[in-house]
Amino acid sequence: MKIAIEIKNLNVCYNGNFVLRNVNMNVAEGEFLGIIGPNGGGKTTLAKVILGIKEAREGDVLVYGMTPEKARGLVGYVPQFNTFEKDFPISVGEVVLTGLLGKAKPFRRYGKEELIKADSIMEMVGIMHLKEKGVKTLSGGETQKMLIARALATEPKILILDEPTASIDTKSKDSIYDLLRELNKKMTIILITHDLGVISAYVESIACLNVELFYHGESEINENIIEHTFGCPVDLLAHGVPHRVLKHHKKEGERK
Amino acid sequence: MIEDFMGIAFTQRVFFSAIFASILCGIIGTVIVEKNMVMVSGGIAHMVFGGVGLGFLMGFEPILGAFAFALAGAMIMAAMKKKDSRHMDGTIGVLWALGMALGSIFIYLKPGEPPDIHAYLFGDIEAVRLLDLYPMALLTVVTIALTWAYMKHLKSYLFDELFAEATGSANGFFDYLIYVFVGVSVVVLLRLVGIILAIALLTIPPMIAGRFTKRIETTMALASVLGLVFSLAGMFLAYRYGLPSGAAIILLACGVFIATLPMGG
Repeated sequence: MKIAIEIKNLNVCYNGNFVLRNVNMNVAEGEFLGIIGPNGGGKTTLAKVILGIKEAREGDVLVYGMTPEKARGLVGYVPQFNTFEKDFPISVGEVVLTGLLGKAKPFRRYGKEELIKADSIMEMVGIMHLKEKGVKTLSGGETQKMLIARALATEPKILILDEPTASIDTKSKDSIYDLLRELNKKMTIILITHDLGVISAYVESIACLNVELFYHGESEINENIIEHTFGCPVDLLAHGVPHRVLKHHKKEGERK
Repeated sequence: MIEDFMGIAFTQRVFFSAIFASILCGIIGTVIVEKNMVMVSGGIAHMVFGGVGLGFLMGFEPILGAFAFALAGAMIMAAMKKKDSRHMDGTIGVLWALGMALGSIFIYLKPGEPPDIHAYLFGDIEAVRLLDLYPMALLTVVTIALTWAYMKHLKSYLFDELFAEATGSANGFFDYLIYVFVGVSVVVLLRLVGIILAIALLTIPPMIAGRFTKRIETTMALASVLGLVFSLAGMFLAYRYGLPSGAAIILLACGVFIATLPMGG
C-alpha cells in the first residue's frame, strides 16, 4: 500500500514546551484516520506540521515523499471554527474561489475554467444555492461545507479537517460525515475530532494523541488506551455516559 | 468664505491632505478593523511619539523621526506575531508606554524653549500648512495600487490567515506589509488629528461603512468617503469656531458613529 504521510521521531516545541514528542506514524493512501486527544494535546499542531506552516524541531515529516512545504498543494485544510473571521464581508462563492488562488501574483483574475470548477465543487458539496450569500448569514453546517469546498478547490490528495463538527447540529453532522465518506473514495482523510461517537461509525483507523502518540490502528479501541491518552477516566469526557460508543458500530443516538 | 479665511493655497493643501489621509484610512483602517488590530495599531501610533521627541532633541524634522519609529514599531509587532507570542497584548502595552516615555524624556532633554507637542498629540490645522503633499500622494498611490493588485489575496488572508498561508497565497510577508502600512498611515495622520486620535480616524469610518456594505471593496470606498467628509467638516468647524481640529474631526466621526448605530446590518 502506498504511504501518504510518513512521520518519524517528530518533536515540536512552543515556548520551550513539547507539544509533540517522539511521534511516529504512517498514514496509508486512502485511509480515513481519526485523531482524538485532549485540548492542548497537539492535534492542531500536527495538522500544521503536515501542512508545512509549523516547523518540526526534530524529526522527519514526508508527504508523498516530499517535505510539507513542497507538498503544500497536495494537502487540503479545513480549519477549526474559531480560526477564521466569520463576520468578514465575503460571499460563499468568493471563499471557495480562494482555494484556487495559489501563490501571490499581482492582478490575479479567475479564469473561466476556474469559475466552472468552483461551481461544480459547490454543486457536489451541496452549497450551490448559497453561492451569492454572505458568509456571516450561514449556519454552522453550511459554513463547514463551504470550508470543505474551498479545501477541495485546491485539488488535494489528502484532506485534513480540524474539528469540523464542533459547533453544528446532529443532522448537519451526519450529512458532513456522509460527504467525507464519499470523498474518502478519492482521497486520504484525516479527521481531528472530539466527537468520539463518530470514530467508530465512520473512521477506519484512529490515532490517540496527547503530546505523544499513544495508539494508532483500528478504530476499535479499549478504554485503557483512551484513558491513557486523555490522562483521565473516559467517563469524564462523555459527561458520565459509559463509553460503549467505542465498541458498537452505530451512527447516532449513542451519546444522548 | 473659507478661502478668505485661510487663503486659496492653504485651502487646497487642506483639501488634498484630507483626501489622501481619508483614502489611506479607508483602506488601511478597514484592514485594521477586520483583523482586530486596533491594539497593535495603537501601539505603533504611540511608539511614534518617541520618534517625534528624538527629532526635537537631535534637531531633525520630527516627522522623519516619527516615520522611523513607526517602521521599527511595525517590524517589532509583526515579528512578535510571527513568534506566536502568548503575551502579545501585554507586550504591545509595554511598547505603547515606552514610545510615549521616550518621547517625553527626549523633549524634556532638549535645551531651550520646550516645543509644542500638543500639535503632535492631538493634531493641529496650522500644522497641515507644513505638510508636504508629495510624499502623502505617493504613499496613497502605492497603497491603492498594492491593494488593488493583491485584492483577492488580501481577502483570503483577512478571511482566514491560516488557510492563506497553507495554500501559499499569503505568507508572513503580508503581516509585515500591513503593519508597515499601519505605521505609515499613522504618520500621515499625525498632522491632521495627532497620535492619540489617529486610531479613531482609522477605525471609525470603516466601522460605520462596514454596517452598510457587503463587500470589502465597497467598505473601503465608503470608509474613504466618510473619512473625507469627517476631515473636511471637522476642519471647517475647527476654523469657524476656533476648536482644536483633531478633536473636532473625531467628535464629528463619533457622533455619526453613534447616530448610525441603529441602522444597517
